[in-house]
Amino acid sequence: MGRPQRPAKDALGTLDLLILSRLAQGAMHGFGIADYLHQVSDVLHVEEGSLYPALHRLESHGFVDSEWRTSENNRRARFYKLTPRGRKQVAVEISNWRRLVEAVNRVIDPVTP
Amino acid sequence: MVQQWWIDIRVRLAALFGRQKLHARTDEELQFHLMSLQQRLIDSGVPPAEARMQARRQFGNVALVRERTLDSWRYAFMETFVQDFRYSLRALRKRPGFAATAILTLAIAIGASTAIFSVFDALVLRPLPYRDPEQLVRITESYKQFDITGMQLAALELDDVRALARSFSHIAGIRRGDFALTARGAAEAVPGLRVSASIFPMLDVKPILGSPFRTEDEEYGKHRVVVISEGLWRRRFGADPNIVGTSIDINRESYRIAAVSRQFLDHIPTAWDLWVPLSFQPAEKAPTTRGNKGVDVVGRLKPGVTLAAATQDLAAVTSRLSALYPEAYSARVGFSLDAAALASMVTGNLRQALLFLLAAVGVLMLIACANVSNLLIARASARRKEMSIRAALGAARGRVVGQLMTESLVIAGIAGVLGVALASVFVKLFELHGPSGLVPVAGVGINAWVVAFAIGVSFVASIVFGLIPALTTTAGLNDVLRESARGATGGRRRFRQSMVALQVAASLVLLICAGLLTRSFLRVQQADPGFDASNVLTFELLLPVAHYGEPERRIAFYEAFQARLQAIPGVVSAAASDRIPFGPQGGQGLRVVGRPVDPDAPQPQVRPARILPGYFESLGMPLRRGRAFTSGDTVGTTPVAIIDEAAARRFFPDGEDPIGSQITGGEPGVTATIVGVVGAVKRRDPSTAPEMSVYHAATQRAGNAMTFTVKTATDPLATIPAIRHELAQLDPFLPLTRPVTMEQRVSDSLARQRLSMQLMVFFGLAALLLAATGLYGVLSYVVNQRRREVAIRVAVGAQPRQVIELVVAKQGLLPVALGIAAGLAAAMAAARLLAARLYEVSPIDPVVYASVTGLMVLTAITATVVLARRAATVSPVIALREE
Repeated sequence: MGRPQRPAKDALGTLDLLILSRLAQGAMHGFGIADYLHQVSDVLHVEEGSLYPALHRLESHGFVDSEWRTSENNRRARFYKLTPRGRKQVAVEISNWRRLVEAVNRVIDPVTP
Repeated sequence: MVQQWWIDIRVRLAALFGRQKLHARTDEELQFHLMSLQQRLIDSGVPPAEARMQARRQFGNVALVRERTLDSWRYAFMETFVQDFRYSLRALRKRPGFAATAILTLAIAIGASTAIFSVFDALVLRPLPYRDPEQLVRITESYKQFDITGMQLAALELDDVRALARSFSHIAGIRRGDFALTARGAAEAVPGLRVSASIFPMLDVKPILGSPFRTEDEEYGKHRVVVISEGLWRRRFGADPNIVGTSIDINRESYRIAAVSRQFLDHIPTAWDLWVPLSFQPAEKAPTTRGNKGVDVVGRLKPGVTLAAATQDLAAVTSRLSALYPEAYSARVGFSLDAAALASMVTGNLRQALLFLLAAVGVLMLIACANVSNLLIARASARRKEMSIRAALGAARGRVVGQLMTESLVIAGIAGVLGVALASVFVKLFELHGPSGLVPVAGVGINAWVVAFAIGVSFVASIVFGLIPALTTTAGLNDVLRESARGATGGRRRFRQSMVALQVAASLVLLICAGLLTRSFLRVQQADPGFDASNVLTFELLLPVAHYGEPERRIAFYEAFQARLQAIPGVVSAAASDRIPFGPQGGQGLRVVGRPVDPDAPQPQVRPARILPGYFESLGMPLRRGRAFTSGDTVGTTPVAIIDEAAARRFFPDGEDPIGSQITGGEPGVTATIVGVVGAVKRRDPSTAPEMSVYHAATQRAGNAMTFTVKTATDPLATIPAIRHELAQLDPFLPLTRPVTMEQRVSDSLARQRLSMQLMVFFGLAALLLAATGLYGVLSYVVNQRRREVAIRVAVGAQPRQVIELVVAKQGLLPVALGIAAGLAAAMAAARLLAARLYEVSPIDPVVYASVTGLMVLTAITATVVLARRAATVSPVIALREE
């Protein structure tokens, strides 16, 4: 576990995609992103702590940028937002994801009852 | 995109240097998350203690999360860098020819710059190897009326300054002395200094054995103690550990060895073999001796005292002295004491010369960078398809640029390591084979500063040569696949051409400077010094005061030795002077008796010399009027003098006959009658006009040191054994000092000029070679690009040669023409800086400009022709099929 997962060169993980999608709607801090992930889906179970390695990894690759701001309850919080590269990547990732879903659908369609 | 680029840099800097901040930030973020979770649970009614536990459970292992979060930074940074680095090495290995050319080109330039910088570092940046060197100053005096500055002090003045000046913690006098280790049959002249005892604490000199002499030892009579150098100790005394306290004979007097010491004061720039106390006989400190200068004075400023404050302090001493001794320092001579940093004395005029050489290697560096830039562009063009595929697969442009820059950094890094190795070889070679005594090479070497310089140069170079190729080759990558990959974009072609123009211009500047220096040097070498240096052997003799105290004894010795020399077979004539050309010189004022002197006008200095009869003959100096000295001029007859033409013109401007006039000043305290006029000679620098000289008869007054001039029929060095034999017959305790030909002396005086000329020629030729390589590269690139067009033209009947020459002339020779035009303009500007160092050569000397331009054109044409031949032999069919 000491060694972090290596992000794929051209395709990000699912968690990354979800984070980027949330940030496409505007800047948010880590707690808010976790909250959002819980709200939109119960299926995608995310251990909240694992959010931070992902966020920092995205930042170190220049997909997101971060800064201190004041949160809604007046505390200092680190807010994340997309960089130009991140914005592009969201679009690419989403279309990749759609293609994947479509492809998988086509494969499993014949077997659906 | 600029924003993204900035973000990438920030991220890397944070990952590299901001570890502390990153830790704090992560902790705060995780804390915020936990607190927010907890708060929400409390808000929903969970008891606080329970909420805390639950929040932790939901969050996961905090320590582990923290570690993994921090890890993602290090990994991200290392990953791209290590990946780029590995990829670069692989890419370079795949094209060994390219890699070798680029690396060698850069290594030579980096090596040359580093070598020059190491000299610059030692001589200009850290010239004095002592504690707090900025506190060390040299105290000199000036006489405005005579236009004299930087003069040494008299013995009494040293005492005065020591007593009156308040700014110094130590003040020491230094005087060069003539020393001979006088052992029967094994006499040896050694370089030594007479120094005040305070020099040891001033410079923090700690002897290897024993302890240095003390101030009490400066008293005349107690002064026979000596500190010997480590070198002499090993060479002459077999590193005897019990040497301290024993005695050696110096100038036939017995000295007690007080200590063995490492070198110091060797910046002058000689290594010394011994140091004895600076002591003066009572007569040397008589009230009338304030005009007898000759003591170098150095001082160490008290902590916190500035040079300006010391100058003021010395001004106060000056007015005190003027008040105390009005006859010695009358107001009109404009006497003053000055202080200057001791470092400037070491650096002197070297600073200028070294800065010029540094500029030259800078230009060489620029050419090398332009060359590698061009190589990179040519290679990148070939790899453009590969890169565009990577871009299409999603690699960001910044990533590709980063990759290319890493490659540049790897090239520069390897070249830097090689360059430092080359530099140390250059420095070593210079130490072994370079002119000795030219610069104090002791401190020159590869130290941490020099390595830092090399690293800096390599790093900057990698950006200079790497950035533009990286940016231009990655511009519009996405369009590459669409266009046929054939034609390079106009931008890149223009860049390559301007690189060629730059190289041509820069190497033209270097070559023209080299050409001007060479031509000037040849002129200097051919310059007539006013005497005939061929087949003349010179050597020095020092008669120890202990045995030759009376003038008559000295004169008798010189005459007897001269007679023996003249009897040696092969000797045409032999004589001696205490001041020969291209040896140490003195200076005196001169007055014609009975002529009013304007007390306010600056008084000219003449170079005095005492000579034996036959001296003019031995050096082939023409007697213009009157007679030369003869053996009939003795102690008992009227004092006689001979002036040279330069002095005759100055003191007898209206064509009066100087013969019979009486002069004073040339020989202190003596009024002499002029009996002859001789041709003027250059005494120090062949590239300046002769200075005025006045000669006195050594048979009337003679000092303890003489330099003999022996004109021979054949090789003058071959007579040395015979001369040694004759000397031993006369006095077995006398060493023959510095036997060297007159030609060698003249040539040595040019050593510095010769070296800087040779270095410039080397840099110029290296630049030409690099520029030629660059031109060839561009031309072959152009030809390759046009291969298909050429093939088609050839296929429809054009002569291959014609076609290619057309293409080459248009594409390749245009930048050469532009480069030559720009280079000529730049050279004229650069040569103006050089003007002061040119002798009888104009900075816009047409011969140099024309021949260098011709050389450049010839080089360009050769590159073109070679290439055209090669390209024209390619069959059109093959060329067409390639696409």
